[in-house]
Amino acid sequence: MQKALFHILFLPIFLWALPSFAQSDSTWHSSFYLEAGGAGGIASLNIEHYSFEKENINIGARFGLGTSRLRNFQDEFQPDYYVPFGLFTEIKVTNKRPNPLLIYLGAGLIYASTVQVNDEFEPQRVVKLNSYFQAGATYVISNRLLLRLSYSPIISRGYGFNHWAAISIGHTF
Amino acid sequence: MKVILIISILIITISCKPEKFEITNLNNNEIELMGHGGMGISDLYPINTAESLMRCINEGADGSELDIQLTADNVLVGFHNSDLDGNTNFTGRIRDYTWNELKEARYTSTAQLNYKILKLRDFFDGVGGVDNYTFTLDIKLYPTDGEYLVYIDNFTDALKELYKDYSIDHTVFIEAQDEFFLGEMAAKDPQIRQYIYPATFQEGFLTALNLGLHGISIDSDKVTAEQIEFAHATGIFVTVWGVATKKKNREAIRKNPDMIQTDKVAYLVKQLK
Repeated sequence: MQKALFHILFLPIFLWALPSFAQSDSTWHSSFYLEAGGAGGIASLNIEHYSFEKENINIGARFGLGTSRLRNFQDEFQPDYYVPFGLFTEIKVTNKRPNPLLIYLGAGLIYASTVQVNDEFEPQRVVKLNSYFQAGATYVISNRLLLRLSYSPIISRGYGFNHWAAISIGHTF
Repeated sequence: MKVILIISILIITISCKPEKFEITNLNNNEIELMGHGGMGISDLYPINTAESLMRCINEGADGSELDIQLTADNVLVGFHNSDLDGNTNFTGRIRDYTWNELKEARYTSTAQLNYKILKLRDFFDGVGGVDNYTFTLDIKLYPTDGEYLVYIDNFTDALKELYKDYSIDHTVFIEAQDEFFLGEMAAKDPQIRQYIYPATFQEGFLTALNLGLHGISIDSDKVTAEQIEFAHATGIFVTVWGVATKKKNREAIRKNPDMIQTDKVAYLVKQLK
C-alpha cells in the first residue's frame, strides 16, 4: 500500500517540481481557485501548475484542500477534510486571446478524512484514499479570471461510484 | 444616506426577531421538537444514521422520528426506503439480510461520506440516557413474499422486548400506517403509545378512536388548526411532519400540534426554545 501510494504521489509531485517547459504563448502557468463540489467535498481551495505547455495542450498537477462540514455530530469543531491531488490536461478549443476556452481532463486521488461514530458513539476519524475523474470546460477571462464547469465523479474506495459535479472560480498567474 | 442605513438595519433586526407563539395543546402547552430521521432530508448526514440523530439532539431537539425495519434475524434497524439499492452499496431488502451481514453496508448517497446503517439497540445504548429524549419509531413494513403474518408477529415481538428492556413507555412512541400492525402491537403491549399515520385526518381520527390509539401522525399540509383542536378535544394527540422549510415550520407551530417532526432542526430550535 505504501509503495503504491509512493508511486501514485510521485508523478504529480515530480510534475509540480519540474520547471515549466513552455512552448505556448500562455501568459499564466498556474492557477488558484475555489471549487464548489468536485473532489474536495462541498468546497475546496486548489492550486494548479502547468509543467508541460505546448501550443494547444497543457499538462500539469493539482493539489487542493476541501471540506464537507466543519463541526462533528457533537457540534464540536472537527472538520471532515479532503486533499485531492492529481494530474490534468487542458486542450485549447479556441485560442481567442485574451479569452481562451479549454477542455479540461483530470484524474487523481483524494485523501479523505471524515468523522463518523465509533462503537461507543463517540466521534472517530475514518481515513480513505478515494479516486476522482474530472471532465469539463475552462474559460479564462482576460488571462486572469478562471471559470470552470465540470463533471467530477468520485470512486469511494470499497463503496463504488458517485456522480458529482464541480464549479470553479479562480485566478491565473 | 446614514438615516436610510439605520432604518434598513432596524427593519432587518425587527423582521428577524422570532415570532411569539401562544401554544395550546395536550402536551402541557409545549410542542415536542423532533427531527425527521435526525437532521432531515436536506442534511449531508443521511436520515436514520447515528450521526444524523446525534447531531439533531446536540442541536437542541427534544428527540427525533426514525424509520425502523426488521432484519432476517429480527433485529430492529433504522432505514427508510423499501430496498437498499440506490443509496447504499447493498441491494435487496433489509429483511433479506441478517444483522451480521447488514452491518457491513454503507450509505453511498453522498460521495465520500459512507455512514453505517443503525442498529436501534446500539443507538439506545449509546445515546446517553435514552429516557432523556423523545423518539418516534416510524414502522416501515417491507416483508418478503408470503410471510406477512409471521413478519408482523416477529416485528411486534422485537418491539415488545425493546420496550421491556429499556422502560421507554412514556418517551418512545410508535407510528404506523398498517392498522393490523397497530392492533397486534396494542394486543402484545397496551402500554405502548401508538400513532396512526393516515392519508387523511378524518381517516386517522376514526382509526385512532376505534383502536384506542394515543394519536395521529399526519402531513402538516393535510391538517388544519381546527382539526387539531377537534382531535385535542377528544384526547387525541397530533404530530405533524412534512415540515421542510422555514415557512412551513412557522405554519406548523401555529396549528398547535403536540409534536413537530422537522427537516429544519436548527430553525425550529430557534423558534421554540
